[in-house]
Order: sequence, then structure tokens, then C-alpha cells
Amino acid sequence: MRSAAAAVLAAALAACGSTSPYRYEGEKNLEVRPDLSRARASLHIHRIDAQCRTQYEGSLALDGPVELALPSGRSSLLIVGFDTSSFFGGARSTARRYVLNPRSGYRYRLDVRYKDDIYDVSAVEIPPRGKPSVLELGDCR
Amino acid sequence: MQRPIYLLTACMLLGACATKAPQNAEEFRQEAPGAFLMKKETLEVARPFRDVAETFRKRAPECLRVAVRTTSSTSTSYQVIDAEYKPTVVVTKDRAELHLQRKYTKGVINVYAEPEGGHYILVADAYPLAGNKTRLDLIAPSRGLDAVVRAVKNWATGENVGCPDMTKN
Repeated sequence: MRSAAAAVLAAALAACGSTSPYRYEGEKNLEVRPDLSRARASLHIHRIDAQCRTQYEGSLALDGPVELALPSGRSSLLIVGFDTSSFFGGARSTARRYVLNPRSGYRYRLDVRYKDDIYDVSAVEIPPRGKPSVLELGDCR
Repeated sequence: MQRPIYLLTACMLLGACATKAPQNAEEFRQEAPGAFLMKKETLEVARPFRDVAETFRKRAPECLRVAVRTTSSTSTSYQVIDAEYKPTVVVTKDRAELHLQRKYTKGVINVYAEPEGGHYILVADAYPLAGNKTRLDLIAPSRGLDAVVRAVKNWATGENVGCPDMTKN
């Protein structure tokens, strides 16, 4: 049986070669809401410093909405991975990297979508008081 | 046993193509629409040209500047293909262009001279129309780049600004 695998951003995925559950005992400040069609998704969290050096902290499967705690006051690298598979196409994986620097007292929401081979990840920052605002996500530069 | 099939398929495809690959976006515009397995589509979207251009400018680098590794294996063979995609967006007051090039860096032999950045595989041109509308001319393979084509159309309409899964090309 033929098997195939493809990877986008090999460097990003290489950092997730072996995964372990993400654990951080703080106040839950990040809600992740997956909306997936014919794909599975996972979230890989890394500590990241000003020189863009990363240290893997853990992963979790995005089988449904999930809340987790990210340390505030320092940046985290979030790698969202999408996995698809089909009989003829084999298994394929793609991943995107986003840096999030949570502020103390703020909450964040990450919407992760995959449908018809198109994916999108968007973030909203929710202050303790006031209106939520769309957050521009980017990679470390 | 699969290698001869790949080579045969490649020869058939190449035989139907021009003897020289387009070396820039303008040559691609001239030559690709009449080539085998290529298609030109034109659509009109109810969205201002300025917004379409801005979406191209923002999303193309974020979504299309990627490297893809494809590995395939059977009980008797193992193959690795590496491809790098390079988007270019050029915006003037009359036209917003999105070019996409693909360069194979491993696993594929180039038969024709390749322009810097790789062979052109898609050119999308947006033109301003009256009434805050925009015309989109899209030249791309009729098969095999479906997710990218769909994403670029979505960027033009503004319905969905998501990224295409480049592993599906």
C-alpha cells in the first residue's frame, strides 16, 4: 500500500518530532476553538525568547474547544498543525507558526479553521474590561 | 516500477507544452492560456480594487511563501520531492498582479530553462472596474493547483482570506 506524507514548514514540524502533553498550571487565558472539516489539528506550544530561540513545552490535540493557560509577560510560539489523509492522496501535514505575548489579565481566543483545503487561524484579544479586538498574528522575526 | 510511469507521464506532458517555459509573468500571460492543462478564468467581484490589492499584498507572502516536502514510498521505492513556492505581488493604480512560482529543489529534473525563483505556475491580475468592482483574470493549471486557485478567488471576493493547504498541490 502506498503511503505518502507531505510537510510544509519542515522546520516547524521538526520541532514537534516527539510530543508530550502541554501542562502549565496558571490561569486559563487562551481558548482555542477548532472548526475542522476532513482534517485534524493540533497545537504545539514553545517558549520563545527575543532571539527566536524556542523551547518545546507541550502539545494538545484540537478535537474540540479547549482552554489552556499561557504564561503572561513572555512570548509563546504556537504551532498549529493540520493533518489530512485520503486513500489516494496519503497523509499530509501542514503547520503554521504564531507568536503570542499574553498580557496579564487579558484573555485570548484562537479560531482554527480548515475546510476545502483552506485553513485560517485568527486571534482575538479580550481585555478585562472593554471590547475584544482582533490580534494580528505573526511569526518571530 | 513507478519511475518509468512518471517519466512517461512527464514526457507526454512536456511534449504537449511549448519548447520553452515562460521566463516572466508576461510570457506566462501570453503562452499559458493556450497550453495543455492550463486554463484562464475571468470573474468580476463586487469588491473595490484597492481592497483586493491589499488582500493580495497581505495574504500572498503569508500563505504562499512556503517549502513543501513530499515523500512517497512503496515496498520497493522511496521518493522525496522538495518544492519552494515564491509569490510576487505588484500593485499599480491600474492592476494588481499576483505571480506564483514553484522551484523544485529535490526529486524533479528540470527540462527547460527555469527563471529565477522557479517556473511560473499561476498569474492573477486584478483590474479596477466602475462601481467599486474588480475584474480578476486568473491563469493557472486546470488541475493540481485547486486549493491555491480557490484561495486566490476567495481573496478577491473577500469571502475567505484563509491560506491554501500547499501540500495539496
